[in-house]
Amino acid sequence: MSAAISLRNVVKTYRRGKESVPVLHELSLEIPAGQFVSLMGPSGSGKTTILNLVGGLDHADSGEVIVGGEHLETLSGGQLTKWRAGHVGFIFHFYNLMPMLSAAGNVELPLLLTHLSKAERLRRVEIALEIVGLKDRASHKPGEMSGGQQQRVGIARAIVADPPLLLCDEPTGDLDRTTADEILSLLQQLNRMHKKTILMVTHDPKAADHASRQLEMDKGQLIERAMVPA
Amino acid sequence: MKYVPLVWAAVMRKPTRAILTLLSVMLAFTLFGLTIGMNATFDKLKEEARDDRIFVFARFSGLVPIALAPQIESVPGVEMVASSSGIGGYIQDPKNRVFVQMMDEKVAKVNPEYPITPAQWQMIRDNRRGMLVSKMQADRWHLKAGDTFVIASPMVKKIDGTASWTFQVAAITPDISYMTQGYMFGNFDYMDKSRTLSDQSKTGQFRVLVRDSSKTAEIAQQIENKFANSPTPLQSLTEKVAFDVSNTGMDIAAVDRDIALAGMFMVLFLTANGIAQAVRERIAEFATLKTIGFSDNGVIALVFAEAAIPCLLGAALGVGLAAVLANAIPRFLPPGQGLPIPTMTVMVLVWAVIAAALIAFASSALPALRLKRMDIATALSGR
Repeated sequence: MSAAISLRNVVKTYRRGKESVPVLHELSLEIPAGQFVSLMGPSGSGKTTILNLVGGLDHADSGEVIVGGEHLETLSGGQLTKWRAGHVGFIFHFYNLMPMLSAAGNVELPLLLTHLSKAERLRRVEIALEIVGLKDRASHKPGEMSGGQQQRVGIARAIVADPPLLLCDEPTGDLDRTTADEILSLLQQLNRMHKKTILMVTHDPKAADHASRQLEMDKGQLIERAMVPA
Repeated sequence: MKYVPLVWAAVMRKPTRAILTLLSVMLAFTLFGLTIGMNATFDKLKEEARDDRIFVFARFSGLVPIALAPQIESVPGVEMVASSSGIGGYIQDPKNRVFVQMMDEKVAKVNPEYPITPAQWQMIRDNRRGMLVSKMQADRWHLKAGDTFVIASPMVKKIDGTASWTFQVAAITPDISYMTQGYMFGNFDYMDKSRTLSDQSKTGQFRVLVRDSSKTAEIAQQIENKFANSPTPLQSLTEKVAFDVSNTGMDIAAVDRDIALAGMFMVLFLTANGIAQAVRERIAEFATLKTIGFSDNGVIALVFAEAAIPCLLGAALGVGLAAVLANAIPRFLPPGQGLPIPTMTVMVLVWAVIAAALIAFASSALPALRLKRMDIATALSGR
């Protein structure tokens, strides 16, 4: 199986005033295509930093970040923006939906960057909402939906452009257990049925159990916790 | 077009703020429309003014003896001298203000551009009480040819001691573009012979036509010189000078521009504050847009469009309201006294659109710069 994500000797240090805070030190990681990987660890351990590097939202100080065969460290800001639009779907902790747009309007956002016709965009939005089970709530605004439903809209937005990789930043952190399980099951379904590679940052061990591979960050290093056979 | 719902939703995210901003912009552009429209009228006056005519009137106010006309005509280069005077008053009610220009028979030749046929001029020669009423004034006072009406003029008394001037509409004539409120023309002789004896054989002003337009200013000076030491010293103004508001001591056009500019600055600060606040409140949303693939320029364009919508919509509505007000103003002013009213030309609208676009650009520049420099990871983390 080819690697969807490959981090090689990645170093990342943040500057807080005059102080340097090393977060990742010579970190390496390989995630094959089609894996559902959870990433746990204490706050400040570098989980979200990895997510940002893989998603092209941040640059490593050194090392290589290769995603889908693309060396992200060689891409400019504009190139990274274009690359993100076509290759990565983001799912956020607090959903990050546009409150003034309907569910369909939110899901359509990534498609506005394509050359698809309006009819084709609407067709794809409908499919994405159907996958997450919210076809009948297309015209509802985020404020009219529960947290779980809003996260489903967030997932639909992430998959509507059919990216091979989904990056999830604590997607169930704001949800109750039952709803969280539903969202995680949906992610499992996307991984198994739609062959999405998923990297999910979480604090919740139960959420991590839904992944086929569990990693933990500890003092800037990755520890392999468990591997569930596919 | 596919981004319109996104921009519109952003604008209407806070409807009260959006509507109040739109109303403020609209009112500022109403002021802009009226002031720049007034300047358009001034420009039109300047364009229409002929360079071969001179207005001559008493230097120290009052009337001028008509007997001076032949003396003016004797100034080398003068082709013809016409007399005109005015009757200001009201119809029935003091709030129905009107102003009639009483013209002698030479006005038709001195002002040949007036859209009045020789036959129509002859009508007010044949009927001393006859009046030529422009269409705008006829519509305003519901007058038609043959109607008789009375103008009360407390300022212009008749020899019989009354101040009631009876007129009969001889013809309804086309409007004159630079007489923005229309006009009423009467027979000078009717006025002259009906006035108190002390005011008879006197006129308010002479209209002097010169043969060579390149010597108009020189002839105007000669006329002034000629009567400088007479019992009635005269003042001469070429039509070009008289119709140019910048020669009135205070450059009204410049004042208009300053007022319009002040209004635009007010709108700039208002929209700049509004758009800065809107961006500040939605920094995580813009970070999300950039995360999912919106480019820096794309996000900047969205912010600019968000600022441009109320500006352009407000500009269009404001200029529209100014046009409505400009049409209503003549109802409150007497005609024919040269009181200008704003003209809503295409250029006024073009300037309004340019001003609106510049305001939108200037007010969105700093928030756009902030978004361009935004670190997505930091913005998403809420730090």
